[in-house]
Amino acid sequence: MKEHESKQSRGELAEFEQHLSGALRRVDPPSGFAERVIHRVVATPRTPSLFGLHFGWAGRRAVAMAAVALLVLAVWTAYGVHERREQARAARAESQFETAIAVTGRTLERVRLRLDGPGLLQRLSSASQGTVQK
Amino acid sequence: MSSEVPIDAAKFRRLVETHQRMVFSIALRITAEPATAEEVAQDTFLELFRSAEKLTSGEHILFWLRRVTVHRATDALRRRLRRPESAAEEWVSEKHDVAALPDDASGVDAMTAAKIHDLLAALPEPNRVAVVLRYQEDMTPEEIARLLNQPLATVKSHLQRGLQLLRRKAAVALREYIR
Repeated sequence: MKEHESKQSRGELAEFEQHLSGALRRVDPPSGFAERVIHRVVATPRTPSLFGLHFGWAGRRAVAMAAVALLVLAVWTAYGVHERREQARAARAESQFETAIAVTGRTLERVRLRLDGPGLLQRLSSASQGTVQK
Repeated sequence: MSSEVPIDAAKFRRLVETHQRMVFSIALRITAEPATAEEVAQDTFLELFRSAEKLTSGEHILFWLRRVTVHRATDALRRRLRRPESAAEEWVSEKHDVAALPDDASGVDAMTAAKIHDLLAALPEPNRVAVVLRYQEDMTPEEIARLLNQPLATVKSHLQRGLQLLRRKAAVALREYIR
């Protein structure tokens, strides 16, 4: 029974597909279509090449090579600028580091002088004695 | 400098005359609007004129024309659907379409053809494109997949869904014509 229904359904589908193919045949374009296309082709100016000039194969190759050369130059210039910026930043960082080291050195020197100075050990020992007596 | 001339005028005219029915029909079935279809078809041939030097054989030209027409027609359809007044234009185009479809010897009269054309216009775009290429251009699903650059399973699914929708709509709209 199911097989019969499926066969019938397939038959109906095939019939519908036939109707569809019949209904969806190609149609003629409006009359004068080809003439209008040709007219547009004639009326449309060709897209000009660089600066309105038309280049042959050799010309196109030269333009392509010039473009590549320009690109290389641009990349090289950009790289140079980047390098110079990096160098300046490194120099600034180095100078800041040197300043920091000098400040730290001076501070340490002052601490060392205070530690080595007279009376410090006495003050420290009397302070510790006072704590024990209490 | 011979490569500067893409194609000679006589050869181009022959190409237009050979393929104009196919290009216009694909555009008409996808856009469902004769004026837009003519614009799409003209643009396609204009692009063919510019690109003809790259096309190597008749088969290549056929493949290229079908692909470019489908893309341009779907673009035109999307642009139109984005416009708020598109619904009114569709109503007007429906009147043109009935007149544009002639009677033929395939057993389907003009009225049925016009009805099916209208039902097709109500299908979602991917289903519509697949159905047009399958039943108007008689292309296999494999050929459609290659043309649209889509997976075969996607094309088959679009075709199946499109047929289902069309059959359902036709069962109501064309009860007296189609079983």
